Amino acid sequence: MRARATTIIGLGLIFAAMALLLIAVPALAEPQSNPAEARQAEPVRAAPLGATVSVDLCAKAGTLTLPDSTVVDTWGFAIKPASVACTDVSVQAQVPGPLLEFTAGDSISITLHNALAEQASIVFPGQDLMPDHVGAAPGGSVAYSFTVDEPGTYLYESGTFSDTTAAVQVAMGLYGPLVVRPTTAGQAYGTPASAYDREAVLVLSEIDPDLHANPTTFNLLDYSPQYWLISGKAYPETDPILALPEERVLLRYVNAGLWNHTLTVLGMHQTVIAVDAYVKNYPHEAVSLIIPSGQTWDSIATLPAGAPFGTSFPLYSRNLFLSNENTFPGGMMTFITYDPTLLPYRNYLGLGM
Amino acid sequence: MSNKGRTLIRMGLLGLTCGIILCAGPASARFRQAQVTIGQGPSSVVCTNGPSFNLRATDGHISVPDGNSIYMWTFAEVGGPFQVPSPVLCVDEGATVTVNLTNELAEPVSIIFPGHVGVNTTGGTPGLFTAEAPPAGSVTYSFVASEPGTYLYESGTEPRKQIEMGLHGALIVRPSLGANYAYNDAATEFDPGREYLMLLHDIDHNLHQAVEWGEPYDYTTTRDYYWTINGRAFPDTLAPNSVAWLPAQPYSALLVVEPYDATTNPLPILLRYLNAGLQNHPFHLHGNYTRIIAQDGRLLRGSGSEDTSYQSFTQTIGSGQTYDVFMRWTDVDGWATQSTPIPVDIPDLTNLFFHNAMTTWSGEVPLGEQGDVPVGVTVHNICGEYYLIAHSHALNEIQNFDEGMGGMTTFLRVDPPGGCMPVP
Amino acid sequence: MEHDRVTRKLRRRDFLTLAGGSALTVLAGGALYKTLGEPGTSLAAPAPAPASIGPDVQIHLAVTDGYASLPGRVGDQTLYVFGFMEVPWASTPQDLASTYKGNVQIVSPIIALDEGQEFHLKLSNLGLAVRPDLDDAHTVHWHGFPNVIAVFDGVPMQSFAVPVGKSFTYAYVTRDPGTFIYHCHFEDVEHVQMLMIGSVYVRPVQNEGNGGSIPKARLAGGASSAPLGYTYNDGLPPTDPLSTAYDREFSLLLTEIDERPHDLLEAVQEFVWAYYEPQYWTINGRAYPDTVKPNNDPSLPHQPISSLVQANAGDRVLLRLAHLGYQQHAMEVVGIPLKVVGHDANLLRGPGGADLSYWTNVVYVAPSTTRDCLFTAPAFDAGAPVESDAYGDYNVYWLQNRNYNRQTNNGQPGLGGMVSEVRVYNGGLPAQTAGHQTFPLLSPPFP
Repeated sequence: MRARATTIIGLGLIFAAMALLLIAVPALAEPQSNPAEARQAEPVRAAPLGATVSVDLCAKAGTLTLPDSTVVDTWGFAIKPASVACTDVSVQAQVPGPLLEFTAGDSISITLHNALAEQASIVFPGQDLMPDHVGAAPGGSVAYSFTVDEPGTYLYESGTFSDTTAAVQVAMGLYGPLVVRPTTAGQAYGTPASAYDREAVLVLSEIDPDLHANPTTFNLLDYSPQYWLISGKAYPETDPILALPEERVLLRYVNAGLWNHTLTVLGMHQTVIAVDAYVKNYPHEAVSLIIPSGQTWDSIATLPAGAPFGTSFPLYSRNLFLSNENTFPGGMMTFITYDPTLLPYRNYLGLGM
Repeated sequence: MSNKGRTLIRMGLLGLTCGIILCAGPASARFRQAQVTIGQGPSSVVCTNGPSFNLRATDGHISVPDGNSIYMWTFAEVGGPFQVPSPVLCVDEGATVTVNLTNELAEPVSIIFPGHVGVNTTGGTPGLFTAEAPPAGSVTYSFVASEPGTYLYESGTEPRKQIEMGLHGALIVRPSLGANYAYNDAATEFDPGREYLMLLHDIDHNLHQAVEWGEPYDYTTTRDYYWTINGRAFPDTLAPNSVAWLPAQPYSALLVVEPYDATTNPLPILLRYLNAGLQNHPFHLHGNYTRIIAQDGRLLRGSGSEDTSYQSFTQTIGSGQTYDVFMRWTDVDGWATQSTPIPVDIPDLTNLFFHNAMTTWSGEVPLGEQGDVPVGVTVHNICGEYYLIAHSHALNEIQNFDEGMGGMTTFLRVDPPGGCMPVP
Repeated sequence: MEHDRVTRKLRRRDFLTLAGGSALTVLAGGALYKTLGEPGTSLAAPAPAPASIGPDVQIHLAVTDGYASLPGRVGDQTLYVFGFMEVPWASTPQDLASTYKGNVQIVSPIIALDEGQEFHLKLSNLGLAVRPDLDDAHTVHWHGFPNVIAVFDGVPMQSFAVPVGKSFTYAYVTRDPGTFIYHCHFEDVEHVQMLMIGSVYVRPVQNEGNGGSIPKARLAGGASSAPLGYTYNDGLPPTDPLSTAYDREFSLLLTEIDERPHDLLEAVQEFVWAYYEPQYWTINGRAYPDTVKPNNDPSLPHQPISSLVQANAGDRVLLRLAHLGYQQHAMEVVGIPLKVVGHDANLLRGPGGADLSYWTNVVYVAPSTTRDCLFTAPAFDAGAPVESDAYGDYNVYWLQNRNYNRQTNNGQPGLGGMVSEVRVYNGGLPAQTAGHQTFPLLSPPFP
């Protein structure tokens, strides 16, 4: 089930919301224990191109628990089920926000329902709509309509900065990944060079607990992160990226952090195929990538042949933010792991579904 | 816990510390020491040839120009001296590289080889990234150096601590096309006598002191105070390889070029940048653009072999990245005192400011000529060569703690055509 | 030591005969921009042929100190700075001191040159009004200038510097078009942070057109339908997707400011640069909201260079991004992707012609790099929030540093820092006749 599939707009809203809810786990590939199911999960395009997909999002307060049991207050996005208010306890703010997954050509209608105590909005860098820096008042809502023409990996984030909030909303957690798929399955950009077997969305960010404790009075000069996250988790809680030898793993980096980050993979090179969803004229291979704040990078890392079962390839911050507060190991680190329980599965699609 | 005391508060402590311990020697004296040795020995890359290497993780101290000495860890050769950075490992493409690591430190250590595939380990104990050598123990790594280029090798054990402590070095894989090529591409031929290592690093000596004294250190409040190229801080970077007064820092960072000439000097010099530090460093070379031909051991080529190299006047070397860059300098104006004078007047030199102890100017404008300078100015110039500076343009990094100029800085020396011979 | 260098006549290079003699340059001057003729007019007229002997362009920069204004500063918001300012060519430091000393502008004037010119830059050191005891020498380093020789590189150790009360003239031949920067290289960590920084760029000879598909640019006297200029010698007509032609041109020089070294210098003390940790992030020496004021705004008498980008819908806009701070920044225009066509004064094209230009939402700008970015101003959207001024309605797009922790002025509440606006008008904005014009055109506030 993917986040699209009907021409009936009213139903589409519900289906899309349900589907997004299902895939809205932090977006790392998980073991595929049942290949039959996985095959069924291959996209079956029931709708013509250019379907309208509606999504309702909440912005609301929540919490995030870090590996050392520190709990910080957050503001996050969440999928709003139909007929459930954002304020309902069943709606949990997520950091990062849910993965929004569309197909190129879709018409998107996203409604943000603001359950925060201050103005909230969303901007969609790289999408064809006027950025909204005003948004909805507390208790109100605002709608965004646009067409996702170009496949790729994108960021969405709060666009609200007023005289009092500055850009604290993003730091509090109001950001998330947005993936637009081409109509060709198994490719990131509808080109053979962008073909992959597994994929992982890696949303990079930092946590300064002091900011989360006092978002409205925090002095930005004091911003000093103590935790470094991949998709909302710090090592050892980060999700491993599971794959088999010779499989191509598409790494969708989204730097939602306030800082720039440099990321490394060991044991293989990464081939950079796109930056900010713009396909590189000439893909290049690299070990270490400088990923500026707000930018997205797509690279493909191919697991070497002949690696022993269980081989793990570290993927981590080469700025070496590898601690949770002062405790090593932690931080911005995960592993691409050869999981022998995986069955070979070319053109595996979906993110943990 | 979070410790966010503002730096102004810590500055008071710094002043005290600096006065007592760290700021003993004026950089100008060190400059003289480094400067008089410019040209007195080679500065190009020094290979430790493989493909088998016996390394030991060990400790020692390096010297920085403000008089401080910093406790470091390194991978030294078994039977060889402690040195920073670790030896430059040179192997030929296709060779099976074997590194036997023995551990003389009191905690486990390991080596990772970013950019290399299929590193096998023998012995040791399991670690987070790779097999480790326990204290007094050993481990062996082996892999096939399948692709030519410039690579880091570094600790895979608590890397935040151990890489900064100095457990890193450069690995050069020479292409099958020949040692005077950077890659297997005829366009990557360089002047084989002009191949330079530019290994960048950043250091918070407080970490090093804490490790040496067995004290805790808060990584969340780290701040760098020293920045090095090839284990040396400016002006030590200028001294040749293996000078006696830097016994643990054998690698020069002085760059030397002669003017481009299609017939007599057609080949570029090669700089191999590697950033072992935690910060990205924007490195600016005066004199001319550099052409970036490769990153992380991969030649910049399109899928149809298009040449996708590019030129920069500043190349940002990201943490963990390597870049291979070509550099040329052309005497485009050909200024000559008589036939082609510069179009402006040089005033009476007494109306100009000179660094009395630190001047490298020849006293003349054209390359290869020397003239007089005011009395009291000590000139370090052999043959009318030019000196141009090369440094991190995060200018807070060209300091030695509180002394400038220092840190991540070196010189490019432009020699007259045919080389630098003392002017009679 | 006396040197026999009394009269040295220029021997013009063959290169100049071939490539030079293009349009009269635009100079950035005493306040912002200065032309050799009347402001805003000489650019549209064909230039006189350069004299056969002598420089094509000469600019005299004086170095002194002064005060800038930063929102968020406690007290009167002023900050002690050093800088370069343009002064009449024939003046001596002694002539200039009474008028200029202590009155410097930041950032330094934009210097706009044409390819193939011989450019003489005279530097005069006026000394400091506030710190007469501090007799620092100064230099000019043209950052990135290719194949430079030591005496014109401005690194004191490697040649010399200009002491208080003295002058020295640097000479350059502008062989390569592109966006560069200049700064003092004397005690550079201090003098660069004290804001002795400026943009210098070289416009390509392609601005003369090729008599065919590439029309002469308006900067070189071309027709009103022609582009204002070309970023590089791309060899392409303006309609080509890879053309670097533009209708409007803006120069955005980034830096951060740590107020402590400024305050310590003013108070005759030294700063330890390892503790560099800025409180202000600026574009052209201004922090938001000052960034959006026009050039020569009377409220900012010592910061005449605006950071505001104005365009009509559909205009092709060139942003010459440059950076002389010490941190790395993630610059973006929210809602408008940028096409990076120039990298450190080089057209992004491989040696064999491979197109290396790229689109992006975020441009990573490291210290001492320059990036030339093009965008086409989006259609005016009357349904979006609209503001208006004398040129009609416009939409606002934020030009900002995505490192949000740097969107502050000294930690004070509210938006600040390296933030400005791209204002997209509904056709009512006058055409630029020179680079970096903002509207309304205001007169220089002081000599």
